[in-house]
Amino acid sequence: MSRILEIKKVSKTFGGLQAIADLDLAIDQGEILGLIGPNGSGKTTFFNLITGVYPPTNGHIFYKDKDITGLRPDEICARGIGRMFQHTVLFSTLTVFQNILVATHLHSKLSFWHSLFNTPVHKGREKKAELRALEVMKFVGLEGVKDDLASILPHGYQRSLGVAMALATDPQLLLLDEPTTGMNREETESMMELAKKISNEGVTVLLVEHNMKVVMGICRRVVVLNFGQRIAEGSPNEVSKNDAVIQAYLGADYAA
Amino acid sequence: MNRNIVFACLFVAAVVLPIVVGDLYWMDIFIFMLIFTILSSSLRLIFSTGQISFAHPGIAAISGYCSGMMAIQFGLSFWITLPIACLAASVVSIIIGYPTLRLKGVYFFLITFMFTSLIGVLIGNFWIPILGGWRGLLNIPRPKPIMIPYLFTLNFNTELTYYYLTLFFTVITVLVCYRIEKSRYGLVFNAIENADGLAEMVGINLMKYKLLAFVVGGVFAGVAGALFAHYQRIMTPYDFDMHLGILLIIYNVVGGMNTIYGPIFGTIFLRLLAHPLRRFGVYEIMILGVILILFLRFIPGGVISIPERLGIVRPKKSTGT
Repeated sequence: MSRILEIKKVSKTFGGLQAIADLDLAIDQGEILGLIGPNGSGKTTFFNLITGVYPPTNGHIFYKDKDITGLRPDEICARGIGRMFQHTVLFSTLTVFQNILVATHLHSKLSFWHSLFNTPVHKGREKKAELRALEVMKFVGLEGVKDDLASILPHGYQRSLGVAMALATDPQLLLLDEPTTGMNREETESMMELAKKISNEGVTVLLVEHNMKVVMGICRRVVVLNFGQRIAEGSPNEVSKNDAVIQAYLGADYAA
Repeated sequence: MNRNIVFACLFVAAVVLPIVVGDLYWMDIFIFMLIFTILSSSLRLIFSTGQISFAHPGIAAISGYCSGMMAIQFGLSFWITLPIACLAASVVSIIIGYPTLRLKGVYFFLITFMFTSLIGVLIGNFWIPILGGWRGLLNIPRPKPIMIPYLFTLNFNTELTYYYLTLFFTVITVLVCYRIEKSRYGLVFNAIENADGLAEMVGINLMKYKLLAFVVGGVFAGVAGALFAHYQRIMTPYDFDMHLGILLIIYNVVGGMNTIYGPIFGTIFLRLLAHPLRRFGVYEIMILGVILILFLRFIPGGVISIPERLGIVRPKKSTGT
C-alpha cells in the first residue's frame, strides 16, 4: 500500500508556543485514519499545515512523494487534498447549490473573454460545472435544500455542505475536521455512512474527531496527539487501552 | 422585475434624454453624470471582491493626463490616445495591485488612498511643461471628427454628440461589469469577499481574481479619465482627488452595492441632489457624509433595496448577482 501523505519531522511554533513538535506521520492510500487528542493538542494546526494555511517552522510534508511544504492552499487543493473546516465556514450569501458550484472551480476552466461574450464554449463549461455540482449534492444528500441560502441551513446540513464542498474539489485525500460536532445520533450516523461511502470511492480520509463512537466505528487506524506530539498509534482498540492516551484525556490518576 | 427590462428602460431613457431636456446646462450635467457612472460602476467591480479601493481617482487621473498630454504634444487624436491611456491605466493597476491586493480591509484602503494623493502631488509638481502643474493641462482637443464616407461627418464639438459618445462608453462599461458578474466570475468574487480562506481551500487563486477585478475596474477608470479630459478640455490635479474618491464610495453605498444598478442610481440620485445642496457651500460634503453614515446604518442595501424593504417587490431567494 503506497503512502499518500508523509509528514517528516514537522514542527510549528507561534511565537513562544510550540503547537506541533517534531511530528512524523504517514498515511496510506485508501485508509480512514483517525486523529484524536485532547483540545489544544494541535489537530487543527496539523490540518492547517497540510493544507498550506501557514508553512511549518521545520520539516517537510510530502504528498504522493512530492514536497508540498510551503505551497499556497489553492495550489495544494489543486494537487488533490480537500479539507472541511472545524468551524462551519460557508459562503453565507450564496445558496447550497452555488456554494458547491464555486467549489467545482478547479475542474472547470473559467476564461475571461468566453465569459464576457457568453460564448457556446462558456455555456458548455457552465453546464458541465453545474452537472458536477448536482452530482456532489446528490452524493451528500443535499438535493432537498438546493436553493436555500447556506446561512439559514440547520447545523447538520451546514456540516454536510462543508463536506460536499471539499468533495467537489475531487480530492484523493480528504481531511475532515470534527464533522460530527453538534450533531445528534441520527445525524452522526449519516455522517459516518457518508465517510464510509467516500472511502469506498477510493478517497483516503483523515478524520479528526472527538466522538469516540465515530472513531471506533469507521477508522482502521488511529493516531493520538497531545501537545503537538504523537503519543500513540494503532487500532482503535489498542489506542483506547494505551496508558499515555488515558493519561492525556483523563489525567494521571486514571492511568494503570 | 426582469433585469433586462430595467436595463432596456434605462437605455431608452438615456437615448431620448437630450430630446426631452436639451439645453446646454443639463447636457453638461448629464455628461458628467455618465462619466461618474462609469467610475462608480467599475469601482463596484473592485468592491465585489472585498477590496475597498481609493485608487480609482488616481488611475483616472493618470489616464486622463496621458490622453490629453499625448493629444497636445504629438497631435494624436482621441481615438488613438484613448486605447493608449487605457493601457497605461491597466499597467498602473497591475503595478499597484500586485503587491497590495494581498492586504485587506483598512491596510489596502490606506495604500490606495496614499496612491491617489501621491498622483495628485506628482502631477502638480513635476513635468510642469508637459503636464501643466497645479494650474492644469490646458487646450486638450476634442476627439477628431469621424467621417463616414458619402454620408456625414460626426464631430464632437457639441454637448449633444459628446453626450452620445459618453453614453456609448457607459453602456459598454455597464455591460462588461454585468456580464462578468452574471458569469461564474461573479460567484467567485462573491466567494472571495465572503470567506476567502474557504475560497482558497477549494482551489481559488485569490490574487489572480482580485487582480483581474482591479485591472478591469482600472481600465474603465481610464476610459472615464480620458472622456473627462477631452470634454472639459482642461485637466487639473484637483479633478481626480480625495473628494472624488469619497464621492465614488458614497455613490456606491447609497446606491446599493448588491446589484449592478446600485452605483448607477446612486450616481444619478446624488448628482441631482448636489444641485440643491450647492447652496450649503463647504457643508455640502459634510451633508453627504451624514447621508453616507445614515445609509450604512439604516439602509445598508442602498437606495436599490428600498422597494424590497417596503414590501413593494418580493425579495429574491438567493443572491449572487
